[in-house]
Amino acid sequence: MEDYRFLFKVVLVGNAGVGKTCLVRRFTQGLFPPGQGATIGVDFMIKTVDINGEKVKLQIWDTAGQERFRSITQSYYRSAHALILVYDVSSQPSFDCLPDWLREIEEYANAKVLRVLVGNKTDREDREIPTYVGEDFAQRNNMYFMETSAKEADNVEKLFMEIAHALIEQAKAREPVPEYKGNPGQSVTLNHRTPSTTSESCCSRLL
Amino acid sequence: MSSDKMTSEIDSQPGPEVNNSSEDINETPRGDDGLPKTFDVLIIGTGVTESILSAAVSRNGHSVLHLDPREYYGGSWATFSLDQWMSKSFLEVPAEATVSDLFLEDSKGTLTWKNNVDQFEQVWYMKDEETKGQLMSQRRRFNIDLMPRLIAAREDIIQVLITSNVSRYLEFLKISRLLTNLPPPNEHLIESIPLSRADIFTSKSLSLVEKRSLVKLIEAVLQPTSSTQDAAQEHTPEEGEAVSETFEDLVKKTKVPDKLKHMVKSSFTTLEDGFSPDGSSFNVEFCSRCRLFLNSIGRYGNQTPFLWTIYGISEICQAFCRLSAVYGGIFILKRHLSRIEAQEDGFVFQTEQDEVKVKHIIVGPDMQCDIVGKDRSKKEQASITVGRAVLITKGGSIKAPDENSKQKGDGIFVYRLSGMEVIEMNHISQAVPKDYRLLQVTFPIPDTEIKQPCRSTVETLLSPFLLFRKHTDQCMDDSDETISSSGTQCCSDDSSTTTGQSNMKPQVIYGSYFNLTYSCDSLFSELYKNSSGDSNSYIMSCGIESAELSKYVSKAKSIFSTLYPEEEFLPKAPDCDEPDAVNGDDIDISEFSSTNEDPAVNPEGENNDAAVMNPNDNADGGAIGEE
Repeated sequence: MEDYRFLFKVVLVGNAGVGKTCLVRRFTQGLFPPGQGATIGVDFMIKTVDINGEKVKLQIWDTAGQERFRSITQSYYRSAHALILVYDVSSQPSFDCLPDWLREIEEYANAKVLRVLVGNKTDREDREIPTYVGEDFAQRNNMYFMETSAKEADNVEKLFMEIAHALIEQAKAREPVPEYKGNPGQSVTLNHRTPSTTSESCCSRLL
Repeated sequence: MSSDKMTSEIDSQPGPEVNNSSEDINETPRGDDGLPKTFDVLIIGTGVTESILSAAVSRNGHSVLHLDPREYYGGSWATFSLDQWMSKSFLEVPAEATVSDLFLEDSKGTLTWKNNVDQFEQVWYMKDEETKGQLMSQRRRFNIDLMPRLIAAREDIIQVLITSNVSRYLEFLKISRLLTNLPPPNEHLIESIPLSRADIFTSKSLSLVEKRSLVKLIEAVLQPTSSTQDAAQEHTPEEGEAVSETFEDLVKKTKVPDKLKHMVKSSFTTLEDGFSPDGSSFNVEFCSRCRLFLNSIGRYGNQTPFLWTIYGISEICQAFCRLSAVYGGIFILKRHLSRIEAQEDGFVFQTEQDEVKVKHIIVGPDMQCDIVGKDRSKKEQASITVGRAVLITKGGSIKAPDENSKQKGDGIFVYRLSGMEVIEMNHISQAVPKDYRLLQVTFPIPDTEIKQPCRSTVETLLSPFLLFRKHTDQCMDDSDETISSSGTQCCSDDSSTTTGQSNMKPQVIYGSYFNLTYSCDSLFSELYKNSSGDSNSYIMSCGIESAELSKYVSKAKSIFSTLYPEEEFLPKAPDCDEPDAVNGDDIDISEFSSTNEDPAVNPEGENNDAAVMNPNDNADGGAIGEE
């Protein structure tokens, strides 16, 4: 049994091969899978972290390879609380695509989404993007910035913990006025878990 | 307090062991843009059938290349923001995508793009810049379906979503009220259709005698299921037992008065019957639909049988595409093919710089396939056309809930008005910003009027309930749109019949009107069979001449079983947080009705162990965020 006070959806975007899946795996599983090809079979991963005594569940979504031909579904961005835009510090092309990604984010993601720019692969010796260039880009576009190495586990934990921190602050600031008060009890997720023994006799069903 | 049982600190949703692991794909020869040179299945179009098939094929380890010439997912099932909607992008066909040539062993042909939206017309009823500006500044808060769909809680698609685990990407809303107008001469009166025992007995619109006969009628409709109750609960009636009596027989037997009969029919009828409560097609099939309807009520603790997809029906297509991608399916939007050639054991096609070989090809319903050659001269085309209107209104709901009604006063309402289905949404649906309503209107069009614009029909039939002209400049429309005579007439009717009440009606700000055609070139899915190899390879079409979602689901199932007869259709995608396997077909539902409900997507079905054993219980939680 586990209680958690917050659940946040975090999505990753960025060019193929910048290390999105490695960042997720490093953070959630503590692994760095060597020689990984294009992402297959990763949907989302969950990790619960403790922030100042509060349990926070992070649900971290990967692109499932749909970024390769720029065909990410719009629904991928739905209700994301934070969005991590990743580039590879050793790949100029991955940095040059950032404006395209920003356009897509503007189009599909919630305007209030927390946006973080991440330069990954700082362990590489053939760096092409100096830190200040990334920093500058993030500042101009109103994003948080961090450089990481999924391979060396550098800053990965810090990245996600800071996101969790910032999201809690945001959520608490908003708390007095919940966004969609709406009609309580209206939203439904279908579910398959429970063996059905009493499928008839619904209170609100007719007869 | 939300609780969630977890077996470990770390929880993942990995795809399972698939045959085409990343290594295998890496070994496949690739083209310039990294596209592998061979796939098992090529799918063109991202409508609901194509998306379900993509997931089913990919899920079982077959490689899938999924293209769509459009720049968005969903095809005819797409959902648009207001600016996208007004720019009518769905009317445009990418030039390079219109035709691709087919070279088959015994014949030649073309694969052509067809557009199923016709007679599109849009009107600003309130033209002042302030109103327009306010609306347009929130354009991204709109999610407008080209083809809106209510989903009955026990419909096929729900079952498929649950068994495949695709439901984790989706969230639904319950439709809170179902209403109808009364038969003439009282057609301007709208009444709520009572859907629960409590509703029936507290309803003031029915007399005691009517209430009794309604209960009798419902018992009679449900009767055939009683002997096989368990089966009927879990299966849709279509595969269930035949009902011996028709609806009319039952009505006679239970002595249901006319008004009641009208209400009952209004609630059960669908587009296929023409939404017409007076239609004569109320047969055995209708009775089984009644059972589906009745069994759907309350499944998710809902007041009506229906659910609505938050953010629009396109989410369902995208959810299946996501599953396909998670299992390795490759997706490319804005991409079509120029030629297809039959070769031994499959097909070779050209898409931009790539030449790719596939075993099977599946084309969406938006593709028309003309094959000229032996035995292919006769075509069995079939189609139905529906009229559609999308209205944005201000000033509340068409029918405000009664003050003493226990029913919830807000949400999504469904009206059956004079043979039209009107889905009225407020901001909770995520289809429209606060203070506005989005009305999705659908109605059947007789064959003779397929080429007629439908604006005047909608304005005439809905004018008792909506204000189409601004009160002050009622008949001074200076739009460049032509105002049909009936349109003008409805203005005057308006003021005469409902004098003094027109202020109460919601004001229509914007409206768009069009006809939508569902068609198929062949009554069979198979467009072409290539038997040159060891096993047959096919070109299959997803086209059907129906607007019913369940038929699109069965189409996907039947195509899948042609291609892979031995395989299971969409077995459940595993979760890691589930220690015990789910036993067999036992499926149940959860109901989330925490008090601080936030309709934000809860894609995984969080709190899935929380008190869902009994659908009567109000399960805890379900909301993202603070509990």
